[in-house]
Amino acid sequence: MDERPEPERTRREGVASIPITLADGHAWGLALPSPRLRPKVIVSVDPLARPVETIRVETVLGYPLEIRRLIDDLRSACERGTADCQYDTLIRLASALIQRAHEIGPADVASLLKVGLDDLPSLVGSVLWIVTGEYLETPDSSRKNDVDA
Amino acid sequence: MGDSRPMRDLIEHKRRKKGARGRLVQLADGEPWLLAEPAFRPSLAGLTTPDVDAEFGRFHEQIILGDEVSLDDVFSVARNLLLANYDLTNDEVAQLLEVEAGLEAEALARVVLESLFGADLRVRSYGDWVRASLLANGLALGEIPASAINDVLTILMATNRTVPPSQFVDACRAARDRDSLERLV
Repeated sequence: MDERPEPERTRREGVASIPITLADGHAWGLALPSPRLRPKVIVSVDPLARPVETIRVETVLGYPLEIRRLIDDLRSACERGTADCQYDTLIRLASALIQRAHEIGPADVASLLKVGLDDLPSLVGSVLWIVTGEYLETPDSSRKNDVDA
Repeated sequence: MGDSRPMRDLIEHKRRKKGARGRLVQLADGEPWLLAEPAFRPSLAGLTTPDVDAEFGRFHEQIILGDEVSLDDVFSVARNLLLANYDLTNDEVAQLLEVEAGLEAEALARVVLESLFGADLRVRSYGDWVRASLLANGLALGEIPASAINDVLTILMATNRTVPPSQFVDACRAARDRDSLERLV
């Protein structure tokens, strides 16, 4: 039986997101940047003045490299790309942000992102609002963050 | 849209060193990379290549004492194993190994621990037994003709220099258990 995915049943635990209404009329989540742990190399010297590398955990706020590359693609498309290219890169990024917030397959995401022309500006606005970091500076009371991280 | 532009040429096959080998692990770019398998060779300089001696000892202590393993050490080992196979800067390694606390960090720790200690539920084959028997007897460097391998293994067993396959190979152990069960029935 073909079962349509639902936002609440597919939500990934602990992933902060903002809600956005997609083609099925339900509010899905676009994943927000989250604290990420990475190795930081600290170079010091031992008693014989030889360099010694120590690894410490550093915390940064952001997306994994996979999504940062999609943001980079969107930036390039906005600077130099055609409208089609801008649309494609934006949809790829939106898909990745939805899949980061929900356990859902690519075919389902593609179908959810078939929004009408009326809803497209809202999708574009939400994605840009997140990836430009504006959400950090202009908290919008109409966008209730379902932050459970 | 933020300041950091991820390196466009941080592509697995472009950075891979000749002869790279190990286990495939999906890193933060979503692509599989090869994490080298450390080799153990005791010498004056240390035990492992790439050198993960200090972390190896600390992991063992933490596991035995029931403590959590340190993420500093997990990153340190993962970095060494990655650098053994790829040409990468420190910043590139950091970007690739980046994880979220929780499931992602636990997955990386599991991969690193399995690289050092082997998988918990690994099925041991006849080939694993032959290899382990030869390694345990210092016969890894010599070449043994296939026609002689059974004689060598028979002598190793007869002189108690290896365990019988029935105590080591999972298929043999399963067959032995099945036979005992049939005798009971």
